[in-house]
Amino acid sequence: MAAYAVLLLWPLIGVVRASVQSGGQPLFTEYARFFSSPLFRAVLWRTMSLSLLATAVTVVLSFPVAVYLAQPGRRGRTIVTFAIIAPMLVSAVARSYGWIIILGPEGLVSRIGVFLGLGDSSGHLLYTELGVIIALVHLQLPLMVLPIAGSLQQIDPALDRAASILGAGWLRIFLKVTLPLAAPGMTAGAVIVFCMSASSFVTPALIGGPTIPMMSFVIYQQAVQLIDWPFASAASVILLLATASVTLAYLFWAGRGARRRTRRTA
Amino acid sequence: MMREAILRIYVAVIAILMVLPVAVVLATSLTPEAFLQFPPDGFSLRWYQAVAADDEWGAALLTSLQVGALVTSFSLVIGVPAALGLHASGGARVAALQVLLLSPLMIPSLVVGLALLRLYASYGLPASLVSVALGQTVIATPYVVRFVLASLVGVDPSLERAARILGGGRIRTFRKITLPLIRHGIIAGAIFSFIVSLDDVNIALFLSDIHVTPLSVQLLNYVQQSADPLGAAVASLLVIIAFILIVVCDRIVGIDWLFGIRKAN
Repeated sequence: MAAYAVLLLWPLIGVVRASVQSGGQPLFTEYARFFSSPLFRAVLWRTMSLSLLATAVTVVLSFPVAVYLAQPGRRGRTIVTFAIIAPMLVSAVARSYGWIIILGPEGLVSRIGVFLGLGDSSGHLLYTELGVIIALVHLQLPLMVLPIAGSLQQIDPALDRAASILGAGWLRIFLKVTLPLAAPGMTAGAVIVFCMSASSFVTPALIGGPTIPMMSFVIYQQAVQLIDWPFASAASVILLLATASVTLAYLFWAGRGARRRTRRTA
Repeated sequence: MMREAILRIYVAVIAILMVLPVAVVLATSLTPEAFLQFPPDGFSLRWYQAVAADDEWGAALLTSLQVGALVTSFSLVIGVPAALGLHASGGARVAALQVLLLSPLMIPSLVVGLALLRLYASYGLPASLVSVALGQTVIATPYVVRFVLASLVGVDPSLERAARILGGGRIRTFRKITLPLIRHGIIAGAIFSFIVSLDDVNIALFLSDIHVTPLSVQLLNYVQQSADPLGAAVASLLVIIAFILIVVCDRIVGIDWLFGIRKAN
């Protein structure tokens, strides 16, 4: 346990220290450099907005799948479970490579576009923000389906029936019963998906390329290609703070919700 | 009924889309052409032959397998006692430790990679199989802890006490009682650690050098520079290895159990 803490925390402290001060510079020089540059501010903004968009799309796309998986005794449930989960365990490089082939100039999307007369073969989604979002959603979908399905499975089926007997239509049941009860799983999934999207490296690097860099790309570029470790450290801490604050806000919110529920039942 | 049909079609479409990129990679790796094209025209194994003929890819595959084995053993050594300890003790300390153990899911692994690179550099440690493996152990261990903890859910704690009272020694109790109980968790944790290591790029990217390059990092570098089906062939190898491991895991423990989706009853 202690060994694990050392392995994880000790290096991180080093990064924070290096990012705050290094080489006799005044405190927070690297942070000032980051935030005074319009380029890096744009990268941070792009990372946050693309991750948020990807998260929103993932929530919407995942919900029906989770509903399907949460209902017991469905035919084809095993196959669907496998199709959703198995890609999660396949290398992100391999999956992104698949999207390169699909989204690229000679790929499926482009060919369908040509076929439908939407554009010539030069039109493709590789190196576009839309392409990055598509690949991110594909990458993170399982992480959203599983917690939502988990929440839905805990709903007492009698609630649905009761609401329906009392005269509520399916939309009303969905909005008043299913959705509120699925909210814990949905928020947990959304937090994970947001953090994973914001910190993912392979997918944005391969699908977005250097033309639309995200935070992870900047960290990699600064650390490995430019060997500017203080700056890379500062960028890491900024990314870390962004994802950690979302997580902490969630933990706080979830903890308050749990306390409220225990009070109510007491 | 209408709603039901729409739901079914929707789920089928999403399931197909989830598998599509992987299927496309596999299909493209079999093309006889020299460029990336889907659907491919024809069938050939020439790109696999090209991979096999190149020593660099062979070395990278060997590195990946060695690092994967190291990561698996490291994370079991750290993770299994941690999970048993967490399960045995209770209270606020456990909650804090659980946050620590799950934190690598929140801390971007790229940042962990950078942090370890700086740490190694400050002690002058060169890249080696062990240094890469230690880095990946950080992100693999939480899976071991989680699966072992999950396998302990519902286990009666009095079982171990009974064994001790009946004269079973510490080691005997562990071997005869605890180990069989957490077997599923250990197997799943081990397989996951290996897959995490195999798939990891974010940490290995920082910790590897030209002498120690795992397959995934080598593939990333290759794909960024050249777009030919050779990359698809290597990516397919990664897919095939992961697939074999998933099937093994599913046979032994059941993939539903791993992800907390209850089996249809």
